[in-house]
Amino acid sequence: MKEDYCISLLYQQFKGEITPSEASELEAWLQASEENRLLAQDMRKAWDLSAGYSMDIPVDLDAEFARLTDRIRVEETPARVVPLRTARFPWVRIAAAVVLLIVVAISIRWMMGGKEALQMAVTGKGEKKELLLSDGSHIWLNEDSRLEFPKSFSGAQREVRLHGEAFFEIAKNPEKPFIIETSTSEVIVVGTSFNVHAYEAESETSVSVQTGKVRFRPKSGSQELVLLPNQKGILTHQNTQLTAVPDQNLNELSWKTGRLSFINTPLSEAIADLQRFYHVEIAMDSRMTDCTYSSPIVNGTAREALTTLANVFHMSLSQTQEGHFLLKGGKCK
Amino acid sequence: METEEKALLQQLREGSENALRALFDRYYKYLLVTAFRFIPDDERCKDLVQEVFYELWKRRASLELHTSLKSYLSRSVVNKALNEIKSRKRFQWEEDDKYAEVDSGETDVHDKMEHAGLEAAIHAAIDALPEKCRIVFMLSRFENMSHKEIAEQLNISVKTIENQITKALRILREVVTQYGAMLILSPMALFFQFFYK
Repeated sequence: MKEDYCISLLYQQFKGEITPSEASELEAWLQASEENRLLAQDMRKAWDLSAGYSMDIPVDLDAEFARLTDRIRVEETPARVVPLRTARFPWVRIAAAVVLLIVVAISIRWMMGGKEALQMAVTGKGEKKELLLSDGSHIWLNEDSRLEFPKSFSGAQREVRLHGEAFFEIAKNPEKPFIIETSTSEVIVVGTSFNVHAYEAESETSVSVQTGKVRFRPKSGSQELVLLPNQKGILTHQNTQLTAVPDQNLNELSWKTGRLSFINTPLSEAIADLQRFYHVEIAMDSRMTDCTYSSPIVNGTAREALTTLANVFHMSLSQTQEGHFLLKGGKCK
Repeated sequence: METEEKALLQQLREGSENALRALFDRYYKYLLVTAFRFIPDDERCKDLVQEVFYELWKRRASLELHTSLKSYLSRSVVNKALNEIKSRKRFQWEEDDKYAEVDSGETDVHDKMEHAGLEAAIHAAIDALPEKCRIVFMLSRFENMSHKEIAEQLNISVKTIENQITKALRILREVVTQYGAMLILSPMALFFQFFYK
C-alpha cells in the first residue's frame, strides 16, 4: 500500500475519525513491517507533541476593551460632520484655520520645490500599478490615476499627492504621519491600510478603511473625520459635506484583489458588483433581486462567473451582444 | 460555566456592556491565539479580534447560536483571517503539491532541539511549515474542520488538502527522527571521545 495513503489513514486514526474498514487496512500495513510501525510511532509522537502548540502574545485587555467601546460609541452616535474644535473663542478657531493653511501651504511648497526630487507614477485607462515607497509603504494604483511622491521622506511628515484611486498599506511610523493630498482633501495616517477614491471628475471623494485609523479632512474648513475599520468617509465636492458610513461592500476592493466575494449578498448587489468588475451589462428578472448568493471566491471570465450563478438559481444565461448578458427565470434557493 | 454563559448572553442581548466585557475577558486571548495561527502579526490579529467582538455587539439582539459561543466566535475569527490572507495580492493557491517534499532543515528547529527539547522543536517546525501547508494543518488539527470543509473554504481540492496534511506530518516526523538521532549521537560521541582519545 502506498505510504502516503497510509499516512492519511494514520491521521484519521489520530483524529479519532477512522472507519472500521480503514482501520483494518491500517492494521495490515502496520503488521507488514517494523519500518511501518516505526513510522507510525514517530508520527504519533509528533502528533501528540503538536497538541501543545500555542503562542503567548502579550495583551492589555483593558486597553483593547476600551478600543472596542470607543468604536461602539463612534458607530452608535449618528455620524455627522465632526468639527475639529468646538471653540468658544472665535480667535482660537481662526488661529487653527491659519495654522492649517500655513501647514498646507508649507507642505505644498515642500512638495513643489523640496530637496527631494518628486517622482510620479501614472496609470492610463485599464492599467494598474503596484509601488513600494522608500519607507516600505505599499501602494496599489488603480486605472486612470496619478501619484506624486518624493524619492525619500526626509521631512517630519511623509507626503504624497493623489489624483484618482489607490489602495494604501502604510508602514507604521508614529513619528512621521503619512499624508495623502487630493485636490479636495487630506488623509492623515500613522500606519494602516485603506482605499482613497478621489477622481476630480466625480462628485465625491471617499476613503474606506480596512485596518487601523485614518483622519480625513477637506482642504477648506475645519471639519475632520476619524475613520475606523469598515468605515467609509465621503466628501461631496460641491458642498463640502463630510459624512461617515459603515462600509458594507466586500467588493469595494475587487479592483485591487482581482477577486469578487459574495457572502449572503442580495443578487441586486451581486449583479452590480459583477457589472462593475467585468465591465459588462447584465439584465436579470426583477423578482430575483432579493435572493441571496454566496460564493466566497468568484473568478474566471464573466461568462464563467455568470454560468455558476445561473446554475445556483436555475436561471438561463444568454449573451444578447458583446458584453451584454441576460439571466432569465430562476428561483431563490 | 454553561448556565453562567447563557445568562451572560441574555444580558448581552439586552444591551449590557458588562456582559460584553465578561465575554471579552473570557475569549479574547483564545481568539487572538487562533488568529495568530494564520496571520503571525499581533497587530493585525488584534484588529481581527476587535472586529469579531464588534460584530457580536452589533448583532446581539438577533444572535442565534446553533453551536457554542466559543465555536461561533472561533469560526468568525478564522473566516476573517482567511479572507485577509486571500485578499493579499501575492497569495496564490497553486495546485502544485502533487508530491510531499520534506525539508526540515530549518536552523531554528535544530536550535530548539538542542536546547529546549523535542516538543519545542515540533512547535518550531509547525511555525516553519510552508504557508499553505501550515494553514491546512492548522484548520484540520486545531479548528477540527473536515477535509471537505477546508477544501470549500480555500477553494482547493480535497486531494490537495490530503497532500498538505501528509506533507506536514512527514515534516514533523522528520523532526522526531532527527531528535532521536541527535540523542543517540551525542552520548555516542562522548563515549568515543572518552575511549578513543
